[in-house]
Amino acid sequence: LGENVRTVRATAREECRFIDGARDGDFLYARFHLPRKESSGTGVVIAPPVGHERLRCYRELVSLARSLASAGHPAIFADYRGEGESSGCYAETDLASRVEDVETMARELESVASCEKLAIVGVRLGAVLALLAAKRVEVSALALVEPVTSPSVYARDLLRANMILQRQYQGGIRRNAAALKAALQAGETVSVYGFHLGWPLLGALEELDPLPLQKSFAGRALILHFEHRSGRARPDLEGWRQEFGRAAGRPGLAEIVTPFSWAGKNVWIAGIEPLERKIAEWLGEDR
Amino acid sequence: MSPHVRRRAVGIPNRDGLVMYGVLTGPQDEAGNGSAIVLCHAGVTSKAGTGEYLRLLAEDLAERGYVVLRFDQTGVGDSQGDLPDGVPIDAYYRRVQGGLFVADTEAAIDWVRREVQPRALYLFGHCGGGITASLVAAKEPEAFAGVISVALPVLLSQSNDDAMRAQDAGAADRPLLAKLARRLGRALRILVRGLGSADTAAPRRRAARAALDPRLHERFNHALHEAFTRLMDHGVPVLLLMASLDNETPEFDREFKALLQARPDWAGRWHAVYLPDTDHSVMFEASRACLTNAIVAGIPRMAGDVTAQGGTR
Repeated sequence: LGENVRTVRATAREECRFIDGARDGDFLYARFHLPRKESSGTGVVIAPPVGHERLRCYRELVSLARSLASAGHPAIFADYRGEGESSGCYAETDLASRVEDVETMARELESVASCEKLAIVGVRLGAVLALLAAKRVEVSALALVEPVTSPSVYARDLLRANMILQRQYQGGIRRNAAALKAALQAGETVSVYGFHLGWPLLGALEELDPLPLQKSFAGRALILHFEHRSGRARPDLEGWRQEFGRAAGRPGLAEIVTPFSWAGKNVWIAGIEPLERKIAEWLGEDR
Repeated sequence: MSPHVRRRAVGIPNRDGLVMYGVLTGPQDEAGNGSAIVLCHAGVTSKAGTGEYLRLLAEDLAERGYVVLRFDQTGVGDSQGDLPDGVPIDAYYRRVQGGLFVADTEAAIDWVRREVQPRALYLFGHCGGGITASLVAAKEPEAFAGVISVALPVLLSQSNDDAMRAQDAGAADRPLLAKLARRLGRALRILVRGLGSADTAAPRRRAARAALDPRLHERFNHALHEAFTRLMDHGVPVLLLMASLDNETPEFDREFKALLQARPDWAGRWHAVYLPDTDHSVMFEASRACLTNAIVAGIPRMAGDVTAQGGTR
């Protein structure tokens, strides 16, 4: 394992390698970040966003994994199949394949770090994947960062992104949302900022209702949202929070003040330190 | 992924011993065709590229026998090290265009030479990565079989960074004499850098003359031109893949192409292909196929299998 380099994170080891996927011949490109000294016993799977949003926060999630490992939490962060360096084609993957990938990450982390508990940090659509995965693997804690609260609205926004590209590069909208959806159902792909979306993912997003998942989750949960300035009310997330079951109490809702924006990266920031700090503290509360 | 392709996750030490993570993609038959390609991504992104286009390109090339290395430079993607926070992204692009990742790329090339031992080595770069590739190849032109650039910017990026913006604005508004003095200073710097090296004297003299040319844009990348001059003088073939929907393409046509066409002795050493309906980040499926085809056709041409037509569309 390579040495980590930031002085504050010199307590971590890291490695990037391929791991076997859920199906024969499939593989994931995974980053392992392990504490050099004592482990907290809580391993963390980072479930990244999908497509262009995954690319947007790529370095920030690498930094988060390093930071969690420095705080004593073994962490894994892999590319879903069809994305990044993992096997497969983006257009052919869907929600189910990504949930399998989260399970694969959990299994691999367990094999290298022998964790007593497992937490998942899910970012954007990764938060939905974390909720889905929590039905299949034993998860004690979920940190849901900037969660996609309505998969069907998210699906609509993906088509809208393609229409923005049409306007930018083709001088106008040649295919509206209905036409794009029909094309996808007929087996075509459409570019969403360079990620070639297929019907398997879009169809699954349109059908998914996360409400039963929220209601049935019995572990600890924390919802984190990004704000440029402190104190903005988020009634949408407050409402979403209320939908969680009462088994382990309502999830916390935490504001992270950061210049980070999903719309684009104008200023280089390698990591979102308030996010890293908040998640490490929250995981530490469960020791 | 094709069963004929293998991938290996690798860690490459940079000059300071920090690990740069990469992926080596090659044919199952380890020997392949004996050629290796080092891919330089645009700079502050990651080795797979937007929509994984660099990963898919590497797989296409591996199926054809090439060994391809993609890697994240120090401080970006998965790699160790840190770029300073708080710097505007466009200022980073400009730093990349000035050679920020040259040393990392040289370290990656050294690694490929040791691990792969290719008979022929090509450099490929997207956007600022194309400049990195050109700057690196120009330092040791005899070591490279060719350079391939996609969406090569010939003008330095405009920046929101206050100091850079002031510098650009100041340059544009400067009186004629001050502009002349600035150009003279730049030309002298180019010449002084070449002192004591007979090998580099001729291309540096030419680059210095170009630096004096008042027709050149204030943000003209003289370091790139100098590197290009050296590559041409050493007979290193260069394939320029220009994205037709990209701002970089008209800038190339306006600011750079005439300089290349003015040198008939360079004809056949450089080749510009204009990719139809292609944007800067190669986001559309058809343009990706077009790009791959241009590279697959272009490399044998660079290797001398096909007679090149310098500067044709």
